[in-house]
Amino acid sequence: MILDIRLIAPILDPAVQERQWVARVRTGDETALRKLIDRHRQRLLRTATNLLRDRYEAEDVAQEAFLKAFREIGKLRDDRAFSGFLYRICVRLCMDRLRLKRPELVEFDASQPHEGKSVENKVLVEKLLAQLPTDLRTTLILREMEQLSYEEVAEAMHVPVGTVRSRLHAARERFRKLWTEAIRE
Amino acid sequence: MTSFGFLGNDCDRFAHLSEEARDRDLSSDEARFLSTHAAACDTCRRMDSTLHCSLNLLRHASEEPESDFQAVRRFDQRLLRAYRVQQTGESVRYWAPAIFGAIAAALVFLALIAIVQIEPSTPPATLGESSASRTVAPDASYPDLELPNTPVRVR
Repeated sequence: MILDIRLIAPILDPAVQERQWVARVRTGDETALRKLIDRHRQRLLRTATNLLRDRYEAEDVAQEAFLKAFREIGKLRDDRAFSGFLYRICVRLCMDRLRLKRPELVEFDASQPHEGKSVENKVLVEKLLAQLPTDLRTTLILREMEQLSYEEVAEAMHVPVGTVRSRLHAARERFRKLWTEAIRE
Repeated sequence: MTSFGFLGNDCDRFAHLSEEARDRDLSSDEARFLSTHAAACDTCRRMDSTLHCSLNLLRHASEEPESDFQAVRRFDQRLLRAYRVQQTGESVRYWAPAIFGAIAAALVFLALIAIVQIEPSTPPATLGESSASRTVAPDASYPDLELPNTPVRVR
């Protein structure tokens, strides 16, 4: 039996699949839209939750990011770039919200599920992160929690790789010092 | 042995490599330098240990979003509702110039019709002489216009 690679490629390759969905969303296809949401929902929610440290605010931001991406999908020159485009919007929206927030210690919501992880550690991380400036905090979270490469962080934050490198160095050092002080208390 | 026994450059190099180790695989020379220096310098060893502990703590504090079916469904429904509202708003914005243009054209057209209808009721003085004589009727206010031999009706 001979299989035409052009026929099975969209099924096998998620990138090809996504490109097709993006093209269909441009024509107003809601099924393709649902598939795109399904593919990116978890990642967007996780990033927003890590950056904002608030599950409900993260949902709002993820929704806003999806809406903005769909609204501006016509401006996207390369359909393959949708994933990065969406992620970039989400990170920027989170950074905007972080800048608007007053630099105060945010109380950790202990009612949220933690999947067996130490609540105390989360509270501590929460407090330490709240003391970092927005840019350093975002860089640190994207690199350490989200495990993005330097290039991906640079793309998401729309800054050069060199800036990511220097910010990350500063963020790590400050986080380390804050942590050392915290455990000494 | 403390860091006092080393040149500052070694400690700086250690700090740099210790951080680099989190981002890439170090060469065997670099790895050897790290372990040698850490074994000899208390300050750098403590700094390296606190850096890794704090960053590991951070890494493990990563939040996982709710993945239960109800939460996902709620999120999707809310998003789709907002998307439809956005689409409606966009189509209104898209058609708004055309609609306003059509309304403006219709108003201009109606105004023109109104002007054309108003035109015949202009004052008689502006009309030609022949038409004026036809339109003016004999009236008490114009006694000169009455004919002198008009018979008087007697009851």
